[in-house]
Amino acid sequence: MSQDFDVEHFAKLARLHLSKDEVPSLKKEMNDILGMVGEILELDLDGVEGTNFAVTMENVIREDEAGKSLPAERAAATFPDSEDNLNKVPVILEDND
Amino acid sequence: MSKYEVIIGLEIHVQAKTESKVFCSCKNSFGAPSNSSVCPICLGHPGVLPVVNREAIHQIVKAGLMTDSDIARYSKFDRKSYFYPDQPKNYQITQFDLPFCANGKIPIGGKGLSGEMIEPRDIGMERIHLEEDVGKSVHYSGSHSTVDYNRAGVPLLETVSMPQMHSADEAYAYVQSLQQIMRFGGISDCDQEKGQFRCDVNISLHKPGTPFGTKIEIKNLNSTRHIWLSINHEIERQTEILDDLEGTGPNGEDGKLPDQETRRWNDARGETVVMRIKETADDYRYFPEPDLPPVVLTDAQIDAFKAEMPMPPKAYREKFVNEFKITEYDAHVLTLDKSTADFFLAAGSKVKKPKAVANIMMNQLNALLSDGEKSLDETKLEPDHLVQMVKLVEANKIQKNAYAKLLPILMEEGGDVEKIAEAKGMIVELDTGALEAWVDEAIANNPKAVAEYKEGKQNAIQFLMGQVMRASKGKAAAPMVIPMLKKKLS
Amino acid sequence: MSLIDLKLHEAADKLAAGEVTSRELCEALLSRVEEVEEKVGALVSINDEAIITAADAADARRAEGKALGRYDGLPITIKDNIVEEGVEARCSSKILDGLEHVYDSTVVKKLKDAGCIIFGRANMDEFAMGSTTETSQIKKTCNPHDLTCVPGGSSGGSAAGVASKEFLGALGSDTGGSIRQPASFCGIVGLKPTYGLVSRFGLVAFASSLDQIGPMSKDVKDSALILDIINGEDKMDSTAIPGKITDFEASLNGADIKGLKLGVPSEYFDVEGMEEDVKVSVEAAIDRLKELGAEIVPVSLPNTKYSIATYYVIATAEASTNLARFEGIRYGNRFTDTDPNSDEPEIMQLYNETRSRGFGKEVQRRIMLGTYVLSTYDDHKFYHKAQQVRTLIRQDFEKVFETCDLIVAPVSPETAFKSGESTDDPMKMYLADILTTSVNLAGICGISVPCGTDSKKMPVGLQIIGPALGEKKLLQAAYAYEQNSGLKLEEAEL
Ligand SMILES: [Mg+2]
Ligand SMILES: [Zn+2]
Repeated sequence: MSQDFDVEHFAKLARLHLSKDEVPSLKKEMNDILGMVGEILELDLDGVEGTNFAVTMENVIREDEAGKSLPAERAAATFPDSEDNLNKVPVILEDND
Repeated sequence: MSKYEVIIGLEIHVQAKTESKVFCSCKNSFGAPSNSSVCPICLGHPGVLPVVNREAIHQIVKAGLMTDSDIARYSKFDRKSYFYPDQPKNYQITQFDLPFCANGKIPIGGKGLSGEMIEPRDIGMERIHLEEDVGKSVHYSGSHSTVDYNRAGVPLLETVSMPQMHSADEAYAYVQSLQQIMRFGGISDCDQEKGQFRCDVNISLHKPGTPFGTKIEIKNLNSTRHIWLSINHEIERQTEILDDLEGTGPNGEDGKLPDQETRRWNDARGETVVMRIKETADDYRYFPEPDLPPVVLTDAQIDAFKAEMPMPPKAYREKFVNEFKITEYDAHVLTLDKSTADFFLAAGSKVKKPKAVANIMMNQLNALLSDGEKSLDETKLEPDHLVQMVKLVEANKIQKNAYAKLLPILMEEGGDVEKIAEAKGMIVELDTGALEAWVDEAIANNPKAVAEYKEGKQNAIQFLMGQVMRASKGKAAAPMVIPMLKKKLS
Repeated sequence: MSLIDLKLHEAADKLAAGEVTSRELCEALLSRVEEVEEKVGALVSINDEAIITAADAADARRAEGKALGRYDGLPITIKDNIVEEGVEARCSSKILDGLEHVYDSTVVKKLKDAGCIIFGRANMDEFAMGSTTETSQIKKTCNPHDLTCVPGGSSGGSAAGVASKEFLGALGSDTGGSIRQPASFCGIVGLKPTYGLVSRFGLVAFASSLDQIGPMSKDVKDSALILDIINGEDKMDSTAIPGKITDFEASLNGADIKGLKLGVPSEYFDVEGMEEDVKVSVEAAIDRLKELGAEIVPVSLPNTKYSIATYYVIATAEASTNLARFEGIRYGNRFTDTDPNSDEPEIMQLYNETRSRGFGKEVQRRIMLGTYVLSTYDDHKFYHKAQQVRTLIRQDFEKVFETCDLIVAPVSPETAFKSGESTDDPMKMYLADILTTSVNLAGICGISVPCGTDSKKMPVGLQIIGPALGEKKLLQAAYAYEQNSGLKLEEAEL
């Protein structure tokens, strides 16, 4: 089967930056991998139920009880940058109402 | 009206009331200090796992039952991937193909925001699914943004309507009806100020008999008024574009179809504006959440939920119309909020003609409440007060005009209606002797009116009646006065 | 005999008998680390001071007669993807630098509650993606049996450190063979428990439906001992199996395999690249099992050939979402030297830079593959097919376990190879997992036990596979074999 892996598209979707010169080799590698995993596409599996879950359990549910949270200062200390215990990040949206 | 048919669908996110968040045990609360209601789980730290909250499931099933939805016997969660700083894991745990609720109905009716009446009917609701809310970001233009994750992980019910509304008024009525259901069910307060209710609008215009037009999305509307305004603006905007395309607009046939785009409401400008397009937004790469086993509900569990389900607004309305014999419109107004509906239900059940209670509530009481900017709960008025008032009128002990005087006192202080009426001299005089004296006085003092009546002017008797009431300081039993006058003048 | 030669169960007995203190044990191991770590590279971090403090506390408890139990004072090493409060868990990546964790994983909690001392963090393939530990962004780990060879992976640090006697036992994690294969390469015992037997809370996820924490140790009894500590239900993990088992170690007493039915799947011997030496060693082990009274039956697992493709689709799909949270926004490394002339917004550059520079190439490849197989681009075709094949693979095992107690097979088609051989060729790396991934896809248990060496004196592992929650029987068979194999396994010389 022939696949042509759109490296740039999926890099963008996955938030990865690729330099121009790594694109061709990565494309080849990804095509090889797709070729390998592509063998399962040929299988006729009509009527086979897919395995969605690794466990057979159902209804694993907790009671609605509020517990302890982290102190705000401790949470904020994990942020790479913070301002009044808020996570400070580069501008997300330029326009603000 | 436009020559185009308008098709509107609404996606509404409602925060469900619970003690704790949907997948961790942080408090589900509004207004806590920044990032004080967070833990490794709702912050999406490496290694953490979600466990679903029983009450969140209860709330969504309740929402489903109250909207006549089908409740899934087998439901599961899925991951929806997109990068955004307010989304701690860069995927949202939501539901894709097996939501808890499907095929519901939202009844609409009453008056639109334009003031026009809305034809009562049901709008289809495709689904309600359970998901986690994201954090709240604030943008400082040109400099930076900040994120507070207290909201991240709050249970959200996402409701998706069928594209079955055709005007801003209908969309308004849908929103109002959905909010009522959520409030009646104790599912959500739908407090827009607190972000508990957020709406996305999908709208397209097309000529009847032709395929649907370009679907425009208006995102992040958090007020019913904005929903209504933005839809009307969009109808206008798209109508112009389509007119152009047809060659009937100012730019002739140079027009093109509306762009498929996401817009948002700019309230200051009073118009919708294009939102910077979220890149690759459509490839959400859904797949089953491997960290959460499926949820299976049995018929018995669903029956148990049903048994304890609060009465939905529609059931109140049906009871009011069918048993209390009031109009659809009155029933609509009296079910706008649950305390009013319960109040009317309590009072209406204890009188012969609930219509009389409805009238007091719709007229005098409503006016007093809106003048005082108060809700019914904030006054001392009890359903029994209205019952007593109506019964006193039925017994001819007070007159209807006493309502306006009694209500402010009862709202302020409560108390026994009859005693207040007595103390304030509102009890009607039924003694024929006393009545006759006032009637005679009126006849004697108004020869002109008497003469006119005798010449056949029926209105004159109303004037004389007014004089009797004045003389009696309102105490004369009106139904007895007119026959007495007529008899004396014949 | 030096203290570093002790097995965990022997150390536990000596601690109980007062023949040794936890401090003595830890000090002996710390000086061993001092001595050989530079050559082996098993550990990414170790805090001597904290270890000694914890050891002293354990000794004090014991002196007062208040020991927390049999395991109080035992040092156990954890893989770098297991979270401990106050400590970095970098998953041998650069992207997590700087995040001191704010919580304990369930396994760490269980170890601490039992009085165990967390003895350093073991190197691994970055985010457990690899089979040689060469994708680690932190350091190189060498196979103690031949320092020019890889230790296997991804739990290569855990395996190498046990084999080099830098620590007595360790936790690894196994998503597609990451405990069993390095155990086999380094000549130690490694157990991948049934999915859900050990809580995953606090294990940095690679592929959520496949990951499982398990013991890596010098002998079978030690694996049973560690499993006794770490297994059990957890209200923080919705996929953890209810209940708690406490007698894996005790159940080994008098274990024998007379009458056990062991299935031998032909598909596990016919794979591409199967080395003759491996085949010979494993077949000899199977003969030995027969002599010990087991009944050997040929069985078939016909969908084995699809396991690699299925595994890579499912594992990378899940990984692409699990690793989406690493982007420099909320924690860890944030690469901010952005280009003001770029037409990308700053925040987008932050994402891209952080992820491209923070993640190594193999991780990036797998994220891309996972993103692809989930995309609407291909209508989820790959992902749905893989889920269906996963069902077939599970059914293959179910069928075999209707008649057999356990399955025996090789762990890997080859023994430890030279460093650098597979790093340039991802395909070689992927195909190496052919004999281990099915167990993860089926959610069942498997163990690697040393069963000989190849002509270059590199260890070979025997894989024993059991049904879901078949750990007891699995450990008993492994133990019976180990005690009666008649093999004299050479220790690594350093
Ligand atoms: Mg949603
Ligand atoms: Zn939380």
